[in-house]
Amino acid sequence: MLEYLATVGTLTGIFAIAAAGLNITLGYAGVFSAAQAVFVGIGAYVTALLGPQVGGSLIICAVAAAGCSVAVAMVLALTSLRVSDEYFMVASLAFQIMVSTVFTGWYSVTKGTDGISGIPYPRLLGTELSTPETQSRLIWVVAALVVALTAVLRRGSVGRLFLAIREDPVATQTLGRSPTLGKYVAIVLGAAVSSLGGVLYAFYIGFINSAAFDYSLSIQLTAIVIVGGIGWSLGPVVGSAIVVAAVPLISLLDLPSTTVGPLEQLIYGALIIAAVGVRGYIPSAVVLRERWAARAGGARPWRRAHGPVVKP
Amino acid sequence: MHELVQLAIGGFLLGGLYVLIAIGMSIILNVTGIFHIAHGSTLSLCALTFAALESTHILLAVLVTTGVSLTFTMAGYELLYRPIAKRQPTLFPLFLASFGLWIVGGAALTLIFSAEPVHPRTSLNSTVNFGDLYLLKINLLAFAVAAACYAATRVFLARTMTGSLMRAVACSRDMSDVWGMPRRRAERVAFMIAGLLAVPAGIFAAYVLGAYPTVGDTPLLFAFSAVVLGGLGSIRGAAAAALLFGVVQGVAVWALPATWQDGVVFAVFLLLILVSPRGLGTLGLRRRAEARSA
Amino acid sequence: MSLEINGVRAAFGGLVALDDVSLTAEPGAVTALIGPNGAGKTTLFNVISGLVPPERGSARLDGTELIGRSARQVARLGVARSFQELRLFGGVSVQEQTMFAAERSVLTRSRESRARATEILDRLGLSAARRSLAADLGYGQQKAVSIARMLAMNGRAWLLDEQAAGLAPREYELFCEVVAEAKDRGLIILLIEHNLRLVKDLADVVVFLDRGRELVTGTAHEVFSNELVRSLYFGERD
Repeated sequence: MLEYLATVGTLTGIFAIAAAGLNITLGYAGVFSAAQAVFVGIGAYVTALLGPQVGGSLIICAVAAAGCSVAVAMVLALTSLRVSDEYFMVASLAFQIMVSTVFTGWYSVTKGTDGISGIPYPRLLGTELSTPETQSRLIWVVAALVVALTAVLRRGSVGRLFLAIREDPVATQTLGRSPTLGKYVAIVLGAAVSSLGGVLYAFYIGFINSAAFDYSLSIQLTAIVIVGGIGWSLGPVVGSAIVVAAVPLISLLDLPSTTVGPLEQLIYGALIIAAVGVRGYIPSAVVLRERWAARAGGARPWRRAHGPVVKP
Repeated sequence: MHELVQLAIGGFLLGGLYVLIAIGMSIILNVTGIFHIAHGSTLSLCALTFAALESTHILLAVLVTTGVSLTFTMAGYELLYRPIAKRQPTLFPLFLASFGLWIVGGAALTLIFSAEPVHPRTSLNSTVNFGDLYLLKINLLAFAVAAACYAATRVFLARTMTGSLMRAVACSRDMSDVWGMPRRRAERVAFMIAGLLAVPAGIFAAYVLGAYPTVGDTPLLFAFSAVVLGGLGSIRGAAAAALLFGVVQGVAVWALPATWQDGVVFAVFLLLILVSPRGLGTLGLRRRAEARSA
Repeated sequence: MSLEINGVRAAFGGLVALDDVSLTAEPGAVTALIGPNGAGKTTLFNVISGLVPPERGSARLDGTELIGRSARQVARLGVARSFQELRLFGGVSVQEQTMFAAERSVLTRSRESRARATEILDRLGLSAARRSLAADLGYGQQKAVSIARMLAMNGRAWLLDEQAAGLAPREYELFCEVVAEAKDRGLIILLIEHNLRLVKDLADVVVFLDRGRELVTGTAHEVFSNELVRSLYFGERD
């Protein structure tokens, strides 16, 4: 039981890292990419194929994975420069399905659904991390670093550009800035971060196959980001704790095994709708904090919370 | 070569099904600005409802399917999109909500119905021969119905008062309020049309593909892409693109294993969208409106 | 240095929104555009700011042609505009969006833009609300945020689209003060207004547009006493 909890805890960290990448793309810049699983997959496959050659060097795998993801993301971003807004989601979904097909169909390299096993233990600074505990610690350190980095990014000028694009691309233009370039950067950065999640996933599980990186993973990552609070740097951790750790607890209930999967999906969907319905895509935690600050200062009544941005 | 033609025609006929979903989504998108992804669940719902009731009486099954489809679609509009749209002026939350509804819909259907495909029996599940081409009667009928529905939709939009209201709203969503046009009605009718079009699509999906909870997903993705590729605002373009996808999907089997089928379709889509980002259609009503509001 | 608009024509489908509109807005002066709804006032702003391509015509800022440039380029040439529907970044704090408007690129130092934003927000009485999300503010304050963004852009020309409508008396006064200051600094100010008191108080030149055509240009007094304007614009009120 304890081992199970440790595994779930570690997976939560891995998914939080993968989702943090999507949080940059979707949460900050508002680019709905349904292809995030592609980059997680690339990270995992790079690790599975390159890892044994380099003796499991974490740094080399991470750099190579990020490099490959960035290259692929640039191809994807090429389409985002051409189609706009929500339509990018369609293009990215098409991209996701296409790459999934390659993962499954290119058997000589990826071994399709049979998968690749025998991934070595990760090696960092000459030390082999051979126990689940040390790997778990590594994963949570990386997760903390990623969250800290995205938080810094969010508060800086790049973050302001991303948020402006998310909120209103036209106004962004009339303020003299380019939404297209910002989107491009957001997609590429997000891909690099998510691929790290893939690298750690492959090392931790030791086995990967194509089924792990199909579009249901993209949906899961999206659910994590939305449920955790879009655009909040801690959101991916919170969302991951809910989606990866808490929701699967329903399998402890005495349910037939066939209903567990759909029931989880149902809960993700309901959580997404609830998150959107309750307070749009503005992270509720931030709003609450602002309200507390306002009440403490006595400056603002809080009945205007849902006031229109535009004239009705 | 003969086999290729056979596959292409088979795909073309199946494309009719994608057309029904694509034009429904296209109308909703143009009139309300919502990318109604949950429409895939509507298709699955229709297929499953029909398959469950088909053995009782076919007319009853069609009627109940229509009722269920309209209820689901209109509930989505009235109970999900409208309350959210009232509070949040941008389209992004609506898009997320639709995404959530799609996931909920698919999961709920999986819980209610069995995951095993149900194939309703029909005497039409036999072939007719044209020269040395073999075509399934049910596929031909499905295509004919799809073509008729497409024509009816176009006539409705072109000839009726409500239709021109909807085109006006599609043309300029901001202006219609200023002119005092009943935008709500246009939106409601758009969802209604999409719900109605999903009924024949669902019924034929049950016969042709079998009824299972995720049957709507692939048609949804194809229709989704067709709406974008067809040129936003162009129903004709969306329909043409949907047929194209049907053909590509059919032909793909000729050269590659079936696992590559969807991948090929989306590769073609990505290539075409790179070549022609504004879409293939040139109706351009909405494009002008976009230029104005953008 | 001035904003010269010459023979601008814009049409959507069959509907001609602007028909050979010409006008010149001088620096250090307020030019007001008035006219009934649908006269093409906002379309003219959209043309100038690069959001709508006209069929023909030119708009020169200080001799530089604006037509044919993207909205981003026009903004970088110093044209700051506001929108009737404000287009604030609803989910972004007041301070952050003012900082964003003050930044020319991601390389701008945050310290500089923060200092500038603080200064502007103090001037507009938004200091207390600087951490609030724009969506949470009242209507008057949202309009102030819109002005804050324009101030932060440090442009040479302002296009104000109904910025004074719906303001409370105190907010209205503040708005007039800010416009007067901008005028003193030698900015080109073009504004769309329905509030005739404001037009009388602030405008040096008034341009009357009707159905896409520029009919009368002159001082507020001249335009308001013009027969044609009286019948077209005030007709229903007299």
